[in-house]
Amino acid sequence: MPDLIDERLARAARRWQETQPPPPVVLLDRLAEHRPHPGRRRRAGVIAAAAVLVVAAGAVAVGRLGSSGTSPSPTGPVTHRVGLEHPGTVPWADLPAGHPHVRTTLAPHGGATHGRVVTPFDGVSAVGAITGKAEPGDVLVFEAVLLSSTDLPLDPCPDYSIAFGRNSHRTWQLNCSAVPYRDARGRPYLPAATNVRFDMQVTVPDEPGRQKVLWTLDGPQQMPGFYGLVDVVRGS
Amino acid sequence: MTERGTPAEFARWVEPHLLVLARYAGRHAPAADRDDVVQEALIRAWQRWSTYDERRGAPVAWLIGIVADRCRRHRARGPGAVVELVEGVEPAAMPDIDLERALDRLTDRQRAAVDLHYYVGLDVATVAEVMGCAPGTVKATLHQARARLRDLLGDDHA
Repeated sequence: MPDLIDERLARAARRWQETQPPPPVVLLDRLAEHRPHPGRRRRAGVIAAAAVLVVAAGAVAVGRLGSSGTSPSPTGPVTHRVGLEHPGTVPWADLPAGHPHVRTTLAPHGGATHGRVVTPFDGVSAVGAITGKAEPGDVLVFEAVLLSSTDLPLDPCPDYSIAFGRNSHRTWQLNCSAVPYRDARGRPYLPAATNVRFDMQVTVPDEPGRQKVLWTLDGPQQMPGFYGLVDVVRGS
Repeated sequence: MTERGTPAEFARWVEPHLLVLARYAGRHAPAADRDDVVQEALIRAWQRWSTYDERRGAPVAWLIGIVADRCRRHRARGPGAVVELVEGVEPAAMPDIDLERALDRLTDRQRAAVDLHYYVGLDVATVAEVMGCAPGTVKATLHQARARLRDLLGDDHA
């Protein structure tokens, strides 16, 4: 005989889990700011590792270092990756914005929803981490993780925007054709309750100081997105 | 033995457990603070990584212990100034209010077992590691919790 309370708990828990945003990413630069405490048995090894970290921290202080991977070059722009690279992440592509028509105003006989503007992407949430220190002209690479509460065809393919500081704002089309999921009609889609990671990249503008970098998915009124702070420092 | 040296190595080690850690924080911290709590816990875990001993338990149990500590500290600091606005919630996503209220009336250990097993999604053995008891004790605690919920909600509504 089924345990109805067990089933009710499982159902409620599943519903709650589905409403949760994806977990945060590990912010490597924040870890690097905190020296690990030496363990009792591994004190010597950890001290050595801490020494490496101190050297790395010094490099952050005197040079340009992203939060994770950095491609240093004495002559040209540097690429900074925020967080780890994940296998299966949809690669970034420099696709011009398609400005798809996705907004629909519900009909007057829609009752309580009368006049409400809806889009296919209203059930999508987006999270990501943006942080680090960079020079104007450098390239910042990070991930945007999209999560849909239902199976959602990326048809039309939505646009997204990245605003960097006060004066830099640009819109691209999501790289939908590289999404590894296809629905029955062969269209790329976001499977329900599945994190789909998209690589993003943006060129750091010549706007020194601590700048807000805002990523938003275009279309929905609520504009799912996230932001982080990046220190823009002109080189000497 | 896991090589414990760099933040990137730590990140690779901890990443398979992030979902569970975020769920735990989501149950014990305000939604707006969940990610901050997890990040604080990750820094603490990184600082203490060299003290983790795999012979004494699974990584996830050790990590949840740290997240739980950060959640307690977060609650001790008092409520923040963040107001959560929820718009356009679909009926299917509405919580089971009666069940949530009934869960609040369980004992702390019963509530912890239910949270870890159902909401965080851990198996009984891992719940036992987190709670510091035998798997059989967890099963008994879950059984008692369900019996109490049955009393509170009534069989007709279960």
